Amino acid sequence: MQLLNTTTTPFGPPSDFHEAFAALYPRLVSYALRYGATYPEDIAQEAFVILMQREVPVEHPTAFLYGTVRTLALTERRPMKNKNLSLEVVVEQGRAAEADEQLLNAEVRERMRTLSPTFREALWLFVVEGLSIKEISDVLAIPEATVKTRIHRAKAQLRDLLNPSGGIHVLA
Amino acid sequence: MSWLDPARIDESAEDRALREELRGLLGGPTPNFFQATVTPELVTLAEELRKEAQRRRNTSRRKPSWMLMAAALPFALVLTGLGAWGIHQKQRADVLAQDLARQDNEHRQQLVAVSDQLKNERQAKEELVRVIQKEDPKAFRRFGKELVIPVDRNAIPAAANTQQVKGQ
Repeated sequence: MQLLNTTTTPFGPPSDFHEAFAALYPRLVSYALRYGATYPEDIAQEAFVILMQREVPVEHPTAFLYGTVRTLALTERRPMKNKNLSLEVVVEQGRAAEADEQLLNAEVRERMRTLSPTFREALWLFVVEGLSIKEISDVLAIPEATVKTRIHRAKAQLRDLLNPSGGIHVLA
Repeated sequence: MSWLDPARIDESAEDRALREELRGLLGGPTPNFFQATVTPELVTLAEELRKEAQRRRNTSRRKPSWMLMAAALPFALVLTGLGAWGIHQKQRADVLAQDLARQDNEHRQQLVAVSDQLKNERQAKEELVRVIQKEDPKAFRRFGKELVIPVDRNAIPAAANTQQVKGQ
């Protein structure tokens, strides 16, 4: 078992960590906002601390951060776990639109909103956040094949939107 | 390899092409994931978080392994004792079962031997009956099928404390 050196970070030397933090922190805040977090900055910072607190390094630190932010944001939204709320309901009640406005222009926002929440989440992570299929499967805790299916279905929905009169598209 | 290098995620060309296609379908330009401006404020915050993680790592109480071992010791002893007792009982049961099987085997052998002896004696008796029937059919008829051995009365010594009855 490889233990994390105290002088290095999950992203490598401190300089790389600073670059990673500068790039990821605003995005993680925005991602927490999508799930309706009241204190998205705190959640993003806590995710970084949890990542660096680990003695055993994670394989995909970026995916770990997104997954932790998602969990913390949903936990904050659902303090009473026995309420058994649907995750999609929670996401819809979040401030996703507000988060979208910070990153995307109006045209992209409109097209993203036409998608179902499940597909939109996978598409967001893949296209906007730039995560790989493997990383998204880690974040959402679902198989890679399911991630691919969701992305391809999102693509099909987008094509339907662009070509409402019909046409043939193939689901890969 | 820096974490900012796109190759870090080890994506296939197919996935990259899919991302570009989806960007095209979405219309407007999406922000570049790998562009970041490192400001002094962000660096300060990053360092604070790193120190906080370090502080938590140092202060997190780890349960020493010897405490876990000490807690588990009574259970281990009980389990070991039960196991040893069980093994002992099993060995005893095996020995008793073997003993019982041996006794059963001996009894069967004795039964076979007695059966053979009985069979031989029955055959000898039948043979004797046949011989007597052949030698003295009259006596055999008079006494029926009972075995009667002719007795030489003179050869029998007078029994002590007995009385002779007439006609006998």
